[in-house]
Amino acid sequence: MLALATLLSLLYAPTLTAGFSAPVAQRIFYLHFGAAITSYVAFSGTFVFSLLFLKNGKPANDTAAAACASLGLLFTTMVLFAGPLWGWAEWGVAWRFEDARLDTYLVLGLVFVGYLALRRQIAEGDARARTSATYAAAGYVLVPLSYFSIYLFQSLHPKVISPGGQGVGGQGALVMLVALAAFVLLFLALLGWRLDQAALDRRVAALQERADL
Amino acid sequence: MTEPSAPRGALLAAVSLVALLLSQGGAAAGFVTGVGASRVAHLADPANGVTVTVGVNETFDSYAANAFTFTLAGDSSTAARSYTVEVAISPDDPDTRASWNATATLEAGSSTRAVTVTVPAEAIKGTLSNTPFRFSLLGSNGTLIDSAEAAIDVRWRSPPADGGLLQLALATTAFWALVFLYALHLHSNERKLRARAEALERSLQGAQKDDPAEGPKR
Repeated sequence: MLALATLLSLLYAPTLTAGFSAPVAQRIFYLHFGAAITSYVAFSGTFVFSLLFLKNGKPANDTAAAACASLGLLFTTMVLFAGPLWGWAEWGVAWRFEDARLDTYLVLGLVFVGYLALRRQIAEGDARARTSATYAAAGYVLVPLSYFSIYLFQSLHPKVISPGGQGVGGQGALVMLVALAAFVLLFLALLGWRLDQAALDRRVAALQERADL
Repeated sequence: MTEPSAPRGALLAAVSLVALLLSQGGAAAGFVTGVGASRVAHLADPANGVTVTVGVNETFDSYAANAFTFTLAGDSSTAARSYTVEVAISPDDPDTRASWNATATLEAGSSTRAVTVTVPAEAIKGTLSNTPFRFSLLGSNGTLIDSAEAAIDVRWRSPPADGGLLQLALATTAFWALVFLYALHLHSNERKLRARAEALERSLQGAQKDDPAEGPKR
């Protein structure tokens, strides 16, 4: 699916010349968009599983929250790599610190780096799960802030999905949807893999405990 | 022909300088107010009761045509007259000077008229801080009536010749490389965990064989 999205973005998506000085680099947008929305989905997963943990205290929710955060950072890294490459071609500069979307998204990524760092600093157990769940629930505020920043603040980040936005046309919208579906499916597949590993990790811990007795 | 004496020459030079300064002062009475996107250049033709304002954002933020809308306003003493408004880039550099203009006719009496001058995207090459711009009000015969200068930060650069092919290639490769590296990390981690689980199971089975008192595994 990701291969299909890549091919469509390179070969099928329209070349947008209006408003873009680097129409070839504009094709970065399709995968960039898919990865960005999927990162929001992943961090939303962290938020939901953290709230569930705080409500019912089940360790499985804590594990799922951490897995979602880790995957969210994978997609955030993609976005933070591809976005500046586009900026380099289109704006002549890779990063613009005066841009609210860029800054809030970077801070969002750093907040979830902090989440994983926090988990590494605290010994596994209920205290770690409770602290990191509270941290994730509070940090999640950056997801809507980042998404809506282009509408709330002055931003040079292209506005594609908005009434006055640039738009990408019918073909472009199809590629956007395929890219989004590809990244969401990739996220779900990797999440399943990570949760299987978490189960394996628990099994190893249990065997180790038995062996130590 | 006799050359002027030194004191007379100095006097002539001083008179010329004063005349030049006076003429410059009269022509450049325009001024700029505000900052950022609210910055406005003000021009005027006091002899005809006309004031002109034009919004001058401090930055050009994207590679796109930039439109400057001049608003001409007359008062009750204004006589009908045609004006030319002009936007000039690097006005004092003959090598790079470029200008665009538009003409508007203001009716007699109190009235306003808006006229737009568009600077095309390709007019400026490169990302330049403090690019000098001059906004001028000229009579219909081209005589300068008033002008104001305002520097603009141009924050784009000329587009890449390949349209950004290099960046597209790097970004696409990065997407795949990150997915591959993450999957590789998970795969490697899984192998380690499976190997550890098998080793522990073998060790536990061996311990059970060595210790018959423990009984069969449940």
